[in-house]
Amino acid sequence: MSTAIEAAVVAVIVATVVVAVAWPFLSPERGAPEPALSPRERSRLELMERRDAAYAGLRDLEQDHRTGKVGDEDYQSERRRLRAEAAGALRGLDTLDSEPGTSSPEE
Amino acid sequence: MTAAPRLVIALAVAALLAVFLVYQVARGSGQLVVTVSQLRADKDGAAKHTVQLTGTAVSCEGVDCATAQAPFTMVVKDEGSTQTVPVRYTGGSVPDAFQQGRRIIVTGHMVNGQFVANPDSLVTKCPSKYSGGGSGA
Amino acid sequence: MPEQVLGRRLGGLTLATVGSALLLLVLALVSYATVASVLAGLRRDRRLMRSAGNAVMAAFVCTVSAVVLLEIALVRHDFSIAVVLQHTSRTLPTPYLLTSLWASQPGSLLLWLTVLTGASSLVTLQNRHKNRELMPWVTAVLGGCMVFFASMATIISSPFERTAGVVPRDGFGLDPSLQNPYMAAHPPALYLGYVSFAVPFAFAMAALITRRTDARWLASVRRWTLFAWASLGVGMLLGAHWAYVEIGWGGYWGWDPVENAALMPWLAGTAYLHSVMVQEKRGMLKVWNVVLVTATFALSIFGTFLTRSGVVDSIHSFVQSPVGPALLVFLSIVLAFATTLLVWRLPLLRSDHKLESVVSREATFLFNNLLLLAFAFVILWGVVFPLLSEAVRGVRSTVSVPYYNFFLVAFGLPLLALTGIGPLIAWRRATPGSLWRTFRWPVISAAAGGALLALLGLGSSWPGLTAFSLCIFVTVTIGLEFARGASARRAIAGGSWPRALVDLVSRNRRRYGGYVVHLAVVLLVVGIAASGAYGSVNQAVLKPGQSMQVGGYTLTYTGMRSTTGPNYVDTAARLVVSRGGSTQGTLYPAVRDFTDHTVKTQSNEVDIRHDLRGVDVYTILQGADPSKNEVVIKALVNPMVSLIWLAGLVFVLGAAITIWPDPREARQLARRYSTALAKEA
Repeated sequence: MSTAIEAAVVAVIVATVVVAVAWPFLSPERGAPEPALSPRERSRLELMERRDAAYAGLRDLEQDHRTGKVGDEDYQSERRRLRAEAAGALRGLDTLDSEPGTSSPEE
Repeated sequence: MTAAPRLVIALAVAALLAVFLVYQVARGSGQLVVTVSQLRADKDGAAKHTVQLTGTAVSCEGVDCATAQAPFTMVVKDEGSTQTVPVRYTGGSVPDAFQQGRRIIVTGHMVNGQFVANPDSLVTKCPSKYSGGGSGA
Repeated sequence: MPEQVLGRRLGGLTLATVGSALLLLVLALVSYATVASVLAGLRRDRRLMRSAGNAVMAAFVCTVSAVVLLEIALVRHDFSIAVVLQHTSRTLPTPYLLTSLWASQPGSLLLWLTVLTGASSLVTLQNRHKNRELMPWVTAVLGGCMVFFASMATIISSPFERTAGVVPRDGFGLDPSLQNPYMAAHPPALYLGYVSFAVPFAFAMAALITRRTDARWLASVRRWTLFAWASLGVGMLLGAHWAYVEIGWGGYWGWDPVENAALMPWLAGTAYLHSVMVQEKRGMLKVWNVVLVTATFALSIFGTFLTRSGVVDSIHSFVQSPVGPALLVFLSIVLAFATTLLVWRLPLLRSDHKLESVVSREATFLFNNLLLLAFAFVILWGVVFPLLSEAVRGVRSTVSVPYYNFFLVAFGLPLLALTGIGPLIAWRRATPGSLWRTFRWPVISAAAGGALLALLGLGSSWPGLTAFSLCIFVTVTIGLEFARGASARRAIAGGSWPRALVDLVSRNRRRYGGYVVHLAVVLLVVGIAASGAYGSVNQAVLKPGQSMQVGGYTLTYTGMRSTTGPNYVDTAARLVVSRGGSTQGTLYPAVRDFTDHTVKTQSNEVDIRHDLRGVDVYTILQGADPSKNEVVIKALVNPMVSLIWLAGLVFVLGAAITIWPDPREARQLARRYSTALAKEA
């Protein structure tokens, strides 16, 4: 008798678990395959990272200059370099956006 | 990276290695850890130097091991054989876990057939916290 | 004559049967999750991925249920289950009944599995809508780990194993040294650390598999890495505190293999946390970071192997069990897998920039990494040396405490110096002019402070004096950072100093949280150096009325005292502590006899007095001879040990600041990754 109750409880647990695991297949949502990142998308990601890294670098540079860690001369030369990097990344992004067949990410 | 930083990094790694190697050479290769049978067989000169002895404390002379205070003498038996050696623990603290049947490590040297242990050198292994099962003692 | 007690029934069910069934179910679920997520990654099947995620979460629920059942068995004294019999008794206080779950090998494996399934579930939930390409492989790697630990908990070392033969009426009791709140908290904290390192590892492997070596996954795992590293640090400090108050030799760290087992991954983790900043800022050290995150996780597994295998002589060594070899096999698989992936994807991990100057923050971090890893290697060498020497010469040979202390000083002092240099030096390249400007005051303060301390008599230990001087150096650099940062903030936004400080920290949580952690390191070093280099010890046999001197204090023995607890009787020596003629307090170092063991067990209960000067007077009752009315007292004066525990609190505060989510940063990351790839939205 008690063995039967044991088995029943375990069966209920197993059934619940199976339903939870199978749920994504039972629900009506369509299961289209997840598309991979195209080379263009990878480039876009890389450029955005480079742009953001340059912005972050500029922010840190401002902070370091204000707190005296970086002198005026170093500050100017480093600022020029970082701005050039950011500009390069932005130019690359513009080029990607203007290529035919692309949808701009902000749309 | 450019040549100059690369050289400095390589020199730094070499310096760290050098410190390590010099230490190992200068200080020798450490202290022997021996079983009772190895001690008795004078393996690697164990009977002539200060070594760490491992084994099981099977009995304590005249006292209950669980409440023993230094100085006292115990009999330590080998893990793998029936060989035993008397160990005189001359002083220092006795670990809480120490009692009959526990595995121990103790540091000292042989004097006339008795192992004289340094004070405060008795270490008792935590008893079967992770034993394979069974009695748990 | 023990009564025959049938297994406890819970409403007609046997706890052990349901518990075992739950663990089997967990094994099935995590096996499914692993296979399903691999297929989901290969086929890019979103439904299969969600199913795998559900399986992980279901596994967590089942594991927690198994834990609950085992806790019920422990509290209800169900001695038909082996671990309950072996590690508890009827007189064990309830809190320790609950924490005895992890006192046994099978129970602690169950705890490990719980943390692992919990972490994996949390990762699944956190990444419902992001990292879609990575997640199948993250889940697969985590799933592989879960399959291993679930197999161990079901097949090799089950917590629901039944007691063989007749079930006794009472259990064997919990080892006295584990009946301490710090020891109760120590394993969970450590496991949170060990297990959580699996998450950054899984993400690193997933990034290599999917060729998504962009920095997205770095941002995702940064908090996990910090959390793992902080937990491991706290776990070690809890263990050290336990050793200090419980083991009773007056120290807190013995370089025992199991202590080293936790320290090694922590050192590697520290190196990783620093070098990952170099990758984020300058796109360098990509290969190095993959190696480091693998090494950290591998060292966690190795640490577990050391603790459970009994392969190295240690105070914590246990009986040989099949768990040891299984862990070694798992470790080999992890290393082989990671190495293969790394070599395969090596071309993707080219650096974006070069290291231009050795006088730069990148170089400082690189030196810091080298020192940390050299130290970890030295410790690893010390731990496996007995095994190597036995393999080569047939007899074991150990390295002892002076070996470790030598390298602690040799590598620790330069590391301490770098802790002060790193934050103040610029990225890319620092010029001599800027160096003098930034380091002028810290260097002068350190030199002056060192000279003053030498005059005060601390010159007796040159490593101690150097450590203190460097601590002054680091503290001044941190103070300057906060002061200059707040001042710059006020210049922009106005407002009061406190307001500026709060704003500063809030806008730069990583940086200033990191500085708070560095401050904790300074406190730790001061505590270690002071207690290590400037302590005193004395031992004496005393009759009532007699006194002993130690480190400027006088201890007078006045008699014995007996007190009774729930499962013990304490016999204590009453010691009056005085200094310079005035009484400061009373100490009662005792010997504790536990009343609930099948074999009578005694433990030493030390008593410690924490002085307002930051000095600990530490007393041990080493022996008592009632016939001669004598006691043997060992006393130590340990300066500044309390700073070590304070450092733990500051460490947690710093880690919390660094981990605390920044909504600004989250928005920026979302912008970068979700708008670029509309599918991820």
